[in-house]
Amino acid sequence: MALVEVKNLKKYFVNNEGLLYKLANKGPIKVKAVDDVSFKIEKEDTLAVVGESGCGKTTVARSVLRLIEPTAGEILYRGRSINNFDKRELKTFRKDAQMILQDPRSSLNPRFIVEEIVSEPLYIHDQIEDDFNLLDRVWELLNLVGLSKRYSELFPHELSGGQARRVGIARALALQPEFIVCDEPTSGLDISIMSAVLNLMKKLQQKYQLTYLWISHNLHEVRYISNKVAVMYLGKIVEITDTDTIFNNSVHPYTEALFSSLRGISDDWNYKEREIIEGEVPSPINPPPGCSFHPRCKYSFDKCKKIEPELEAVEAGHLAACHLYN
Amino acid sequence: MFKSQKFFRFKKKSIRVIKIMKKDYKAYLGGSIIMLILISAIFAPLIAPADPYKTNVTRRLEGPSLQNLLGTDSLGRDILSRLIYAARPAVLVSFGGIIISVIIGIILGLLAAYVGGILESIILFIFDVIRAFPPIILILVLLSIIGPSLLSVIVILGVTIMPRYGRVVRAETLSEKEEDFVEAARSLGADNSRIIFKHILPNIFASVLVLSGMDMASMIMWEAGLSFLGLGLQPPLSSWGVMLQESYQYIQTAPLMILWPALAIMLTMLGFSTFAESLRVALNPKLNQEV
Amino acid sequence: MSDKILKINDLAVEYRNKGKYLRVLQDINLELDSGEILALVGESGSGKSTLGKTILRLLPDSARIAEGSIFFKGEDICNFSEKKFNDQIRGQEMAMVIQNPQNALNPVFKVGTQILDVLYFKSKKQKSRKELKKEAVEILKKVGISDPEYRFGEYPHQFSGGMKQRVMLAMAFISNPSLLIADEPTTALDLTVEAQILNLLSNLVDEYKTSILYISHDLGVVAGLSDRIAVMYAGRIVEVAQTRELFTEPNHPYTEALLKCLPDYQKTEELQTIPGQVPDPGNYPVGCNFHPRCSYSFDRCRQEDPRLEEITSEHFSACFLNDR
Repeated sequence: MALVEVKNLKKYFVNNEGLLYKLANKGPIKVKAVDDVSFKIEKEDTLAVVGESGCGKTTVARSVLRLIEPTAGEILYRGRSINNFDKRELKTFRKDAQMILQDPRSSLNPRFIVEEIVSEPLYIHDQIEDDFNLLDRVWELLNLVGLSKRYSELFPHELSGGQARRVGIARALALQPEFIVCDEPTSGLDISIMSAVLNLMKKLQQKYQLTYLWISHNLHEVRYISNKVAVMYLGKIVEITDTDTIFNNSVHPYTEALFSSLRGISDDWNYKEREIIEGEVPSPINPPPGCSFHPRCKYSFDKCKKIEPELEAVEAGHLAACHLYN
Repeated sequence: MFKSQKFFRFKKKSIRVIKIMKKDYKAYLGGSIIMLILISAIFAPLIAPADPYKTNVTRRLEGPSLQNLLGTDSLGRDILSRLIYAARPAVLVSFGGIIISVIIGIILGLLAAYVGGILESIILFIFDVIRAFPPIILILVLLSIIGPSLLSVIVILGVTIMPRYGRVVRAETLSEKEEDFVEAARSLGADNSRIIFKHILPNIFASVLVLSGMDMASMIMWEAGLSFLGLGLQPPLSSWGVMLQESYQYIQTAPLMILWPALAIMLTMLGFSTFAESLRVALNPKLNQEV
Repeated sequence: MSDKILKINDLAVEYRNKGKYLRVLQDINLELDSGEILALVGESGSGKSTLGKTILRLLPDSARIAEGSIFFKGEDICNFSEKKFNDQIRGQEMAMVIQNPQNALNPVFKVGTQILDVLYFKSKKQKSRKELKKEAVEILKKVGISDPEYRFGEYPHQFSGGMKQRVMLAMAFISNPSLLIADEPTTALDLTVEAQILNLLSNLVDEYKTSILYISHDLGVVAGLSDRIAVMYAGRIVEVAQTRELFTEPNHPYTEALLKCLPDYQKTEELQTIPGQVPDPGNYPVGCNFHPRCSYSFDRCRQEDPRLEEITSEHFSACFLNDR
């Protein structure tokens, strides 16, 4: 049984402007941020979700933890549907499933000192009998992420980006979760700090048998940290398979376009001569009919303009939504 | 208890705030004025040189002298003593009024922001109704219904000013709700009350503080004005406003008399506003980085 | 010398902070050829953005040039009066594009109007705005904006990030500058858009023969774009080399360490890390700024500041290891 299973997740944001607006646009504006997304995450997997702005990866991340209520679809954790959890069950779920947010500093209350931030989950879940053990536990957690005791008394604005990031990780670990959703955990960090954070996350995963849902736009990082990758475009998964296959044998035209702009240090090409895909990601308010990628796809044909392709198996463990393969 | 971690946190944050304020002249200025007012109010019987109620018809409208440092009023009473005793109603009105405004404002503002729906509409409607009246009319009408007294002035002023706090609390709560650290707290399993009390309120407190600095000052002005009109405190109770009203008639013959209560009011307003400003800056962790 | 568009000699820049002056740039020596793309890379606190702004005199009032000179086309522009600099250099011979294009375009004016303004001033107010409109639309087309006629009349908020950046590039190239300073122009953009912008930039460089000082923290991007790379650390340039050579034969320990920290989709080894932190201005260690974090440091490193020296042809490095 997969640890996390997402079934046909949909999240539509409805823009309820005034009456005139609705009349002019024939109804309220519906933004289909996530449009029928399904996937599974096995225990100790790291599933990376990649995609560009507007693809819905951030919304998926929050929906999986039910920080946003899904419009439709089911989310199963250890086989149980979390959609219907009541307050108590949800709180218990939150012990096992944690999140690391994108901006390292804004996820820390600027008026809390580090010790307070890291111990907050312990207070919430009544895991503190008295104050005396509290500091020891906080120091233990800080130590896990490579921060010395002296950091426990600092305010977030006294920390560097990398240190703030680590505090966020320490906090996420406080309740010994099984599953962590990481939303661009290294964005905004310097190269040397990024590598420290990546190594830390890998080490923690091994030590505590953690499972990650890893949102990123850095494909190099994805290669390093994940074993499965899902590529999203305009609210849908267009391809999903294991990491090696995505890098060596991807099939979807959008994946091809995305990865073609990937440049490693040892690569030989330069931007002048590169064949670059044209156009931009269309607005999710008015996606193109049929396959939402067809206007930019160099392989598109008639069927692509009319019928939306389904996510189907191209080979074992490799799914893609493209008429070239159906 | 003093060894507990909670106390340590509080201590650390307070020390930081105090250190910052120590460098700010506004804290000293405002703080000393407030201390002066409070001491006058609390220890009036010990500080005042004479009995503020004791009349002496033989020594009316005298200027400052060794016996009466600020002179005597129209009934021969020592002005300085009256001034000192009048700090009491000043303190009661400003602190009392502000407490009523802030508490009711916070409660309603939070409810509006968190519950939303019809309750929010009702609350906003209440705010709008109160704000629709020019304050002077609202206050006068309510006073004439309830009857003038110190208590009614405090309550009415509190209720009249309250919508400002309600609106600010609601607006700031709505925006703080969307902050990343609030989302992080939710993802940890925090329930609404924890989020409100530990995350949101401390962060909107600064805005509340700025407003209250201004409002405490203006409440004293209101009380002075109402007493001047005879609608606030009734004699023989005295406030600076009452003193203003009494001195007004004698402005030709004893011009200095009106100066003292006016100065007292101005000074108090200055004290509250500057101290609140200094406190607001000190409480904001981001504004005080040592670069 | 005549080939060098830009020559910076022993430049040092200071910021005033609470009465004291802190050095944020020190011993900066840099040259840029005509038509060359030089990348300036470094992490936060390296001073790369500050250097870019110094050249264009865009530093705040609390900053000043403490030492050194900047020669542009043979003239020391540090001596130019503000008026002369503004009229002749900034926006004319030298242009800049920055990271967040939304902050560079005025939100209350249509995009077309803003382009027209630049064209109008370039034509020295000779041509009317009507005449220039055709040119403006052409420019929008050249930078790859579809429906340029229609887009001309739109406001910045109706443009996506990538489109705004194209407009920025257009406006920068209108005056046919000899030097373009690009400060992380693609950091905020999506991957495919970034590739498009870099492709566009390369083509514009070819067409206008502009030199570019490209400031970035992204080594992968820079590898596919620049001719040479200068690596900065804590206010100093620590290494300069041809792009290929910097990656295959890095000399300075910081460069070497940085390359080992980079995740690369073709590498599977564990990433290295650099222990410690970048020092703050005002807290630079005695001796080499990097020595506390350097695995090769020895006595001399703790006492003296190494200077940038030529090791092999066109390859400069500031490290005492080269003296042994």
